[in-house]
Amino acid sequence: MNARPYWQFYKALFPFTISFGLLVLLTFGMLWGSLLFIVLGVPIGFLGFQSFRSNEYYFYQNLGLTKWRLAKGAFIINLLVGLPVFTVALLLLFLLFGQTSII
Amino acid sequence: MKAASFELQTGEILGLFGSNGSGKSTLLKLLFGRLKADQFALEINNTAIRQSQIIPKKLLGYVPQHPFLPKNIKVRDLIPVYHSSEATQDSIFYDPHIATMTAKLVGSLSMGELKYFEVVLLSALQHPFLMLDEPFSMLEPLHKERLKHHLTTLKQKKGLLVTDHYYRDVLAVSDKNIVLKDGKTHPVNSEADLQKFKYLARNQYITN
Repeated sequence: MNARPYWQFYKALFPFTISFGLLVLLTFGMLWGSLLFIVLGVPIGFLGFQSFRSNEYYFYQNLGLTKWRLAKGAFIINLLVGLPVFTVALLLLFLLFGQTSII
Repeated sequence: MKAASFELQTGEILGLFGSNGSGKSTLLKLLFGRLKADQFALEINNTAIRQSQIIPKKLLGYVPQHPFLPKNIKVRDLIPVYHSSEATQDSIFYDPHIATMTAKLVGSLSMGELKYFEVVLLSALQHPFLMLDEPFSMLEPLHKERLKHHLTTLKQKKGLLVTDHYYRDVLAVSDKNIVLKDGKTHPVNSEADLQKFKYLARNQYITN
């Protein structure tokens, strides 16, 4: 499987996902922010892509990639990007406050 | 769209004509699976194909009218995104008309360069059929001729559906033609037929 189109699609979503990520990180802090980024980053990115770059779907669909497959690929990449941030946040919480509870 | 139908074989170029709003682009989007139809039947090699299978099975390629390639990437970087085979990459890189633009950003290509690149990039995919929506629009004569030559070569391995208001360019490469009128398809063989179906104005084909 050629993973490059998935990465290319994720890069196209990135301006939207990172804007959302920064917003939630600043609003809710590192831990909740990174969690929200992992869960909601891709749907927000999709919304932005759909609104401003929807003609580019043809680029991926000609490769046989449906929106659903693109969504799954983007979610996995976003998880790989977001999990290290989340782990660092947990580690910092533990080092600074001696606990990792997010409540 | 009421009763549009046609047959296309590999080795053929089918020209599709119709006035603005007659449903040409809609028909292509239905065939590509981007729009849902109330009733739709597509058969490839006598096998019925559901609309939802068209994209994942890579049965039809579609070059839309408007640019669809990511803009902020260089031509040389985009080719490997689309084609993992080195032989295919080389065949595109060494196309004499693409070799001169590989260092450019896709977004900085001229309309003619971009259209040619789009078509070559998609042509090298495995689809047995390729649909092109207004490929000649806004192209300068040199780019048009280049594209026509590419399509004529490409039809040896694919079936091509071409729609464009530059009807003479389409007629120059097509093997058969249809016109979409009142939601139905009608076969056409000449510019006179296009006049009969009121795609061309009276005597337009004579005076031009």
